Amino acid sequence: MAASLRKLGALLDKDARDLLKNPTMVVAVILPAAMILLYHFVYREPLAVADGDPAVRVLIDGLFLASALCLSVGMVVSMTLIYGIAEEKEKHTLRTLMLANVSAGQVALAKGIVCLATTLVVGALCFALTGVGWGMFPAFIALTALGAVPVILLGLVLGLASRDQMTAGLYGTPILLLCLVPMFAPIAPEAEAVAAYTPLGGVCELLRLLLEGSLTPEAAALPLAVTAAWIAVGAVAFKLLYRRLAQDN
Amino acid sequence: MTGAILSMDAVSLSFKDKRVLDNLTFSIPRGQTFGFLGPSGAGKTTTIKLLTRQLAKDAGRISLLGRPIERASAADYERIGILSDTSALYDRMSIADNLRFYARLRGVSHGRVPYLLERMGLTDSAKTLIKNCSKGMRQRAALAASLVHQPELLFLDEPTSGLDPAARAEVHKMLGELRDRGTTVFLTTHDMAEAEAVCDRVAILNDGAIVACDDPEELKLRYARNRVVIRTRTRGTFEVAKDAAGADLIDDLMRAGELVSIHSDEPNLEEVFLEVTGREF
Repeated sequence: MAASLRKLGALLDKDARDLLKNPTMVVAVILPAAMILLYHFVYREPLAVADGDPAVRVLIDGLFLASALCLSVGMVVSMTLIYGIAEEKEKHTLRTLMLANVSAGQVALAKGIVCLATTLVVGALCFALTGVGWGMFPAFIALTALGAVPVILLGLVLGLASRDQMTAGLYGTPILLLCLVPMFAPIAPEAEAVAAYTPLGGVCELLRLLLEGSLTPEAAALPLAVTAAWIAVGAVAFKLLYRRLAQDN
Repeated sequence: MTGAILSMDAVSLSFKDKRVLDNLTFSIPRGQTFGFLGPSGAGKTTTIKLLTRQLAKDAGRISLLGRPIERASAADYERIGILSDTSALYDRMSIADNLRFYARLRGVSHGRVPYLLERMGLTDSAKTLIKNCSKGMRQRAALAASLVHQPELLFLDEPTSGLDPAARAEVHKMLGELRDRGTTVFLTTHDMAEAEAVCDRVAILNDGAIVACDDPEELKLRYARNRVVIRTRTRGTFEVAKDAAGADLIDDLMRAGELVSIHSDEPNLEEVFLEVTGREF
């Protein structure tokens, strides 16, 4: 146990430091923040109306918060986690770690924790840029963390499945798109129909219910079930692929 | 195979229909430097992968640190160091930071890092990022990382590949020091001169099978040619058999003042390999 914790600590330290030196991390932070800033220009008129209309305010706040959540989780997971694991595979550092008696599970746990922490930092930055009252911040961060779990598990699976960083780009794009679908739910009926069943659809729906003041156990049941189902899918997929990775043949 | 730190007994492995390792049997006593020799594709790296549980055997028994490999624990693997043919360190970290990371991972003091840097001739490059290192520097840094926890058993897959002669000599010296400290080394190489320089015992692998296994000197004696090369003043250079007729001829040449030199023509390991396999490297 002590050895496992020691290794996890070393891996967390290494991954966190590496993230700060990694150019893709800068993109992962800048893009969601830039998008939220851009929203202020795109939705200039609705924002002006929202100041005098509480119903529009709820709608706009919901749009901004869902976007902040989806962009933070989607960008960070697809750009840092999947690429990070793929880079370790491509450059053989993952195998070198495993030969140093580190399990793929320990590597994945460290990368998952660093990715979650980074997602929350980027999420907090995006929240600050939305202009939504800070009273929503605890719920936003909690839902971002919950929503990030299945996406991180899927990211770990896709990272392990990637042969190299080029493949990671291929695999990362669908998960990014899947993460961004709930962003468009308030403005596109087609997206709304499927958004609730995407990995972040559940937490975005919980966020909406909270903003509208209609979050009840009954209303929360389906979004929570969707999120739990995605967590289960990610966990099972990770367990299966992790076993395949452990041996060459 | 009692007392062996590492052994294989009738181990075989196939990939689909192709048998890549065939009935491998050897044992390595503690403290020995064991060379596993063979040309590219002979099965050297595959054998290391079996011994380090990166691959699973089809048949036979493997004993690691005195117990069946299937029962080797994580704690057992803490006593092992591995430098594989693909070992790599982190590009965006310096050599010293990589070694400190592996020291932390292995639960040993960072105090050993300066010693390893010095032994590998990397002290002046300690702060160089791996991505800016030459192939030789990367190889030496990876070797240092595999030694950071002072393993009892060390697997080295082509450790001097890509190194210049000075760096190779330094690695050979380090291997000698490891042997003096009692470290068991399993070394694969296709460099016969390297095997002769550092190994207590060697196994020659050909097409997945061991065709010879012994002390390098014993192997050379076993396959020694039964002749000497004679150089004379007027009759040129020629070979003479090591028998009574040859002795008489040498005696006559000496009495006639014809003999310039006599050389025993012993094979080196590369020639032994050619002898036992009929293949060239």
